[in-house]
Formats: sequence, structure tokens, C-alpha cells
Amino acid sequence: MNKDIAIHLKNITKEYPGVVANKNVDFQVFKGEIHALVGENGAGKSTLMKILYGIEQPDEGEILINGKLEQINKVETAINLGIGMVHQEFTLVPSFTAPENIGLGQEPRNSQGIIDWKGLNKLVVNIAEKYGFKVDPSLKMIDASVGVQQRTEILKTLYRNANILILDEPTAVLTPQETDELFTVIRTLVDEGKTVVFITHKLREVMEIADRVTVMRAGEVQGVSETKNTSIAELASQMVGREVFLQVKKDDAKPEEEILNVEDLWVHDARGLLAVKGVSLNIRKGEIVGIAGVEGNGQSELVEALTGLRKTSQGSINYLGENIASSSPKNIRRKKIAHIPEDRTNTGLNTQLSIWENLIGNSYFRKPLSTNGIFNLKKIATHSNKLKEDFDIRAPNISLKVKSLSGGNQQKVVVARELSEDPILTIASQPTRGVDIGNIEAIHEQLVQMRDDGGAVLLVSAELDEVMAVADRVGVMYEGQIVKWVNPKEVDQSQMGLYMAGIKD
Amino acid sequence: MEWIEIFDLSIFRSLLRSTAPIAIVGMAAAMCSAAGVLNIGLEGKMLNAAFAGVYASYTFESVWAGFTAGIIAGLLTAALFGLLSFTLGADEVLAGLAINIFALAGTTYLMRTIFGQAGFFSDPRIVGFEPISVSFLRGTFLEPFLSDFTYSVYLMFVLAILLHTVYYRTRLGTAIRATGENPEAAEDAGINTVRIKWMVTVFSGLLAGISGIFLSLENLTMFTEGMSAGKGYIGLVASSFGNNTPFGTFGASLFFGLGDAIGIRLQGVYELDSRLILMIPYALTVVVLILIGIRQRLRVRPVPITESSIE
Repeated sequence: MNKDIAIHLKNITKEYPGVVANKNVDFQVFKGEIHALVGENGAGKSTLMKILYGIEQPDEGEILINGKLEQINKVETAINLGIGMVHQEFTLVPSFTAPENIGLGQEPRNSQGIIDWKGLNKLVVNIAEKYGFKVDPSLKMIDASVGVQQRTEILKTLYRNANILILDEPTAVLTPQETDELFTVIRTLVDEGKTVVFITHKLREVMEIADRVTVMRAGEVQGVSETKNTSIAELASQMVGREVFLQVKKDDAKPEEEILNVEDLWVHDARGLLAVKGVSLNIRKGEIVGIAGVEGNGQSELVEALTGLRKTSQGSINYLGENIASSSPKNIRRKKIAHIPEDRTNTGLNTQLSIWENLIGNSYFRKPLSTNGIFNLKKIATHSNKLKEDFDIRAPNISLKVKSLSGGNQQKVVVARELSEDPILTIASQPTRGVDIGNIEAIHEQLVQMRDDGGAVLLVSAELDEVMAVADRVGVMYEGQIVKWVNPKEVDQSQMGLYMAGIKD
Repeated sequence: MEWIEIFDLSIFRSLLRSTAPIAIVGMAAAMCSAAGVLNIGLEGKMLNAAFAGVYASYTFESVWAGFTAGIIAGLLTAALFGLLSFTLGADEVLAGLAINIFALAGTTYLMRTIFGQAGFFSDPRIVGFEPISVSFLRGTFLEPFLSDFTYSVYLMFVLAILLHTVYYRTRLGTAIRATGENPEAAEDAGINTVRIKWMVTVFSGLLAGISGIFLSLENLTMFTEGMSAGKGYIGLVASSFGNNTPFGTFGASLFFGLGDAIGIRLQGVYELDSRLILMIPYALTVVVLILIGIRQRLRVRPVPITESSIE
């Protein structure tokens, strides 16, 4: 029996200052199975896999690979043991081609040390064919689609003779169709004798692809089950520790007059390519308009154009009857447009500063927070403490640096700052990314509350479930265009998937 | 005065002579930049090596003693840069600046205390490099063009070809490029990026050292205060203009060398203020930096919006 266990992590404990990331975790994966590891953000999945891959060292516990006790204290050791990992953030060199990335560090070479590039290309193509996918050996990664980049990452592990593949949230960046293709690849891998660990928090995918599933919460294993003997509901309650409601409670929207009217908007991205191609949309008072789509289809550039962070190339953005296209962010903010940016740590916050300094980012220059350019520290403290209370920011005090907060609490700082200014229009981009379920609910409720109080909301999110649950109308973005407007109550996931892949009807 | 009179054989030879120190230190800069190390400290390495070279050549009356001492000085300075930047985690730019300031002050101080001289030190005991007569070129039409240079010119050609091969055709080269472009990807491939950064830094110390020795022991046999005169920085600009590739850097260095050679030539032909001529390389540096800026801008050329923008 023992020889059939590919991975056995025994009583793993890992503590970071102030947090126990893994607590007596026991994790077993059988040879040749697809094993899902699920849990919320911060449940300890990533830490556990980093320990297995040699990036982190456990404080306690043992690692057995194929029944043999191993010390994995660096990535190289893990690779030599046949473990390969595809990270959520791809580790590819942009100017290198697929074979150059795949062979990096282990290129075939002759006795003089000269790399045999042709031989490498052939080798890579052969491996790819064996597992049923195609590669273009001359395509640089900077020009490749996300799906191709991901396949390159998988090939990289196979090139290094991995028998155990760890895939960290591999479907987060894929369309439903690309996800299906990935699943086909995973099944082929298992047919060829590989073992796959699949990290995710999407339970539907677990049920579809995995043989067995381990659920983690707060650093501990909550349960291990065979997928055929469990259900999404059961896994969800193990994951969260209570019943989750996947629906957002809200009444039907009662939209009133138009707040924003975008007409034929064209925007270039940083590389000078067209990212937004003739988008038109309108948002009325009292409604939440959602933008769905796989990331990288122009959503970021659209939001940047609306908030003044990026110049527009053509078209108009009419806000309360005034064209604000290519206006400055400060001007736009003055007109009571709030922005919850997609990149919390770089755009949304200054993580080196304290909570209160971040909370007053939009209002510090105004009375009552400052007079004649001097801060009224007492008023700032009152103001910040009130926001901390109102938005349930969990921190001992407001002087704490933002970087020491969890992702969810960081996001609450952003949300508090933005929504406390009584915005007429709120633009929220990926507002719940990296936020745990409890706080996701709170943020969703706040957006609905904004709407019910007579605000207009634009919600841009790559999480299909989120857009469908929160928005009243949804536009699907694909390659810079809104290819379809839908009523989220009237379409199902698979239909949305087709729209997200650019198939219009 | 005809233009044709300026461009003759001697200006070609002068071009190669002027290019060599910039190209050698430039290729050192290119290796560093390719690996993501912004090595401002090349200037200080050159200066230290130039001084050590003169000191050892004077003391032992041997050019090879000077050569060895110069290389050791370059390597030690590089090690100091690596220690500050990689081991102690100092900002690379600040570490480089510190080294440059330290080298300028240190060599000036040592020259005054050891030789009792200010400004410059020259002595018949200092042995310099002699030109090499390349035997296989003798009698061919290439002889007047390429023979009878000192080592730096030949080293420059050898280095360009050698580094080009390393850069594109060896694991070390791909590791260097990967380290500079995406260190996580390099680490993930089992490449020790800190070791790569140390390697290019030490290598840059070697090349900057050699380049510095040639400054003080080749065409001149003397040391003057601050004699590197910005060549380390110009090398950095050349590598940037050449996209941090060996051939690219070589090409960009030729541009600087040409400016230098023309300046020297014009000095002989016209009654130009010599200080104006001496300014040419620095003026060219500004010009090249502007060109780099323009090139970057041209790379981002917005795609025109047309009917075919939407397929």
C-alpha cells in the first residue's frame, strides 16, 4: 500500500510571525491520481505546496516522496525528486521562446558547452506531442496568449522529468473553454502515469476533474474525500466552516437617470496596441453594471481611461453631461467618481504608510482634515477611527502600517476610503481579489448598498460568479469590445463562457 | 580642407584606438546590465586599475607586473561592489557611486603620498605596452589597417566574438539573460541568480581593470588624477544603446570612438580650442541618451484606429 502513495506530508507545522500557516497538516496523494487541494485564500494551501516544492521549510513534520523520507530544502531537490510546480504567477522570460523557457538551465549542449538550439526545439516538440498539445517553437512568450504560456509552464515541468505536477490555481486566468482544454491535458498527463495536485477554490472544477479532494481551513485539514462521495455544498461548508450563500441578497434595481455615457471609446495600452476598441456603455443612477471577461481583454485599460489614469484615443466619456475623457484623475475624483483599483498594493494603497494615512488619501487636503496645509490630527484620528469601525477594518490601531494587514483588511481600507466620499459613480475593479469569503460578502453588500442609496456602480471582475451575483446588467468583454450585454438572471455559466471566448451567438 | 582628407587611414586607426577602452568596459557593462546589475562603479574600477598598473609597473619596471596589479585592483573593487550590493543589500547605484568617489579620492591621495606628485605622475621607469606586429597580416592589404596596435584593440575584437557566443549559445549566457529579465523564472529553473550577479560583477571588474590598465600603460605611460574621465559611464551608455548585447555594445562604442577620432583629427587641422574637442565624447553621450529615449518612444507606436481594427 505504502508504495502507492506519491506524496505524504506528515504532521507539517509552519509558523510565520503571528500566524500559524500550517498546523499538523497531513496530506496524502496517491500515485496517478488528480488530487484537488481546496481552501480559501489564507487557508494554508500555498504554504503547504511551497514546503513540498522546497521554497519554504516546515518547522515540524516530515515529507515522504514515493514512500521515502526526503529533506527538501531547496527547489532543486524537489525538481530532482520529480516534482514540478506551475505557479499562479507564471515564471517565464518574456523575450524567450517556449523552448528557450522550457530548457532554461538544462539546455542540451555539445562538448564545448555550445547549446544545441535545434535539438532543444525538437525535444520540446516531441514532449508536447506525446501529451497531445502543440507548441510554436519560435513564438516569444511576450506575444503568447495566457493559455499558451500556461502550457509552456506545464511543458517546463515535463521537460525536467516531473512525475508529480502541482498546479496552483491554474484556471484563474482561463476562459471556461480554455479550462476544458487544460482538463484534457491533465487527463492525458494522468493517463501517461503522472500525478497531479490541483490547487483551487472553485468547487465546480474540483467535482469535474479531481479524484480526491483535501479541504483546508485556517491552516488545518478539514477533510479528505473522494469526489464521487461528496458534494459542492459539503466541500463549501468544510472550506468556510459554515453554510455559504453563493447568492447576494438584493432587490431588483430601480434605475433612474443616466450618470455615465461612454460612446465609441478607443484606448491604447502601454505597448501602443489597441486595448479598448469602440466600447459604448451607460450606467444609470441606482444600478450596478458589470463587466465580465477573461482578464487582459481590455478591462484594465477601460477602467484606467474612465478614471483618468490613461489617455483615451477616440470617443467620449460623458459624465453628468460633461466629457471627461483624458481628464486628470484628480479632476475626475473631484466630480465624485470613486475608484477601487484592481491592483491593491501598487495602485490602491501605499503599503508602507499607516492605515490612517491611506484612509485620508483623497481628502487630506480639505477641511476639516487640514486647514491651511496643516493636518488636524485629532479630526483625522476621529475620521479614521470611524471608518475603521464602519468598515470593520480589523487592526489594533490606525497607526499600523497597511502592509502588515491581511489582503482582506487591506482591501477594506481601500473600500472605506473610496465609499466614504459619497461617490455618485463608483468604479470597482476586481474588488474582492485575494479577499476571503467573509469579507467578499461584506464588500458585495457595500456595493449593493451604494446602489440602493442612489449611486451608480461599475463592477469589473474576472470572477464570473461575482459579476453574475452582484450586477444588474452585465457586458462581456472580449478583445477590447463588449461582445454581449446580458441579464445575469437569464443566462447560465456555459453560455457566458462562450461569450467570454468571443463567440457572440 | 576637404572631408576626404579627414577620413583616411590614420583616422581609421585612431578610431579603433579610441573605441577599445570604451568597448571593453562597455561589454563589461553589457554583461552586468543583461543580468540586471546596474554597475555604475565601472568608472572607479578603471581608475583603481589604472593607478595600480602604473604603481606596479614603476615599482617592478615590468609592464606585466603592472597588468597583474591592475587586474587585481579591478577585481578587488568589483568584490567591494558585490559585497555592498549583494551581500549587504545596499542600493546598486549608491554602491557604485560610493566606489567611484572613493576611487577618485583614494588614487589621488595615494599618488600624492607615494609619489609626492599632484595632478599627474610620469616617470621613465614606468614600462608601457608595445604595439604588436601581427605576423599573419604582414604583407597583406590589411596590414596597414589592423597590424601594429597594442593589445586593447585586438582584445576588443576577441571579446566581442567570445561574449557573443557566450551570450547566445551557452547556458551561462541564457542564465545571465534570464536573471536580468525575470529573476523568478531563473530561480525556478534552478539558476542561482545571486551567483550570476556575482559572476558578471567579478567579470566586469576584470574587464574594467584591463580597460583601466590600457588607459595608463598603453598610449600614455602615466597616471593622472581622474584619468578614467567618464569612460566607465560612457561604456554604460554604449551598452544601453547596444541593447546590452556584445555586438550592439561594440557598435555603439565605435560611434563614440569615431567622435573621439574625428575630434583628435580636427584638432590637428583647425585651430580649435582643445577644450572644445575634449568635450566631444561627453556631448556625444548626451546625444546617444537622447537617441535611446527616442528609440524607446518609437517602440511604443500607437496602432492607428481603422475599420480593420475590429475583425
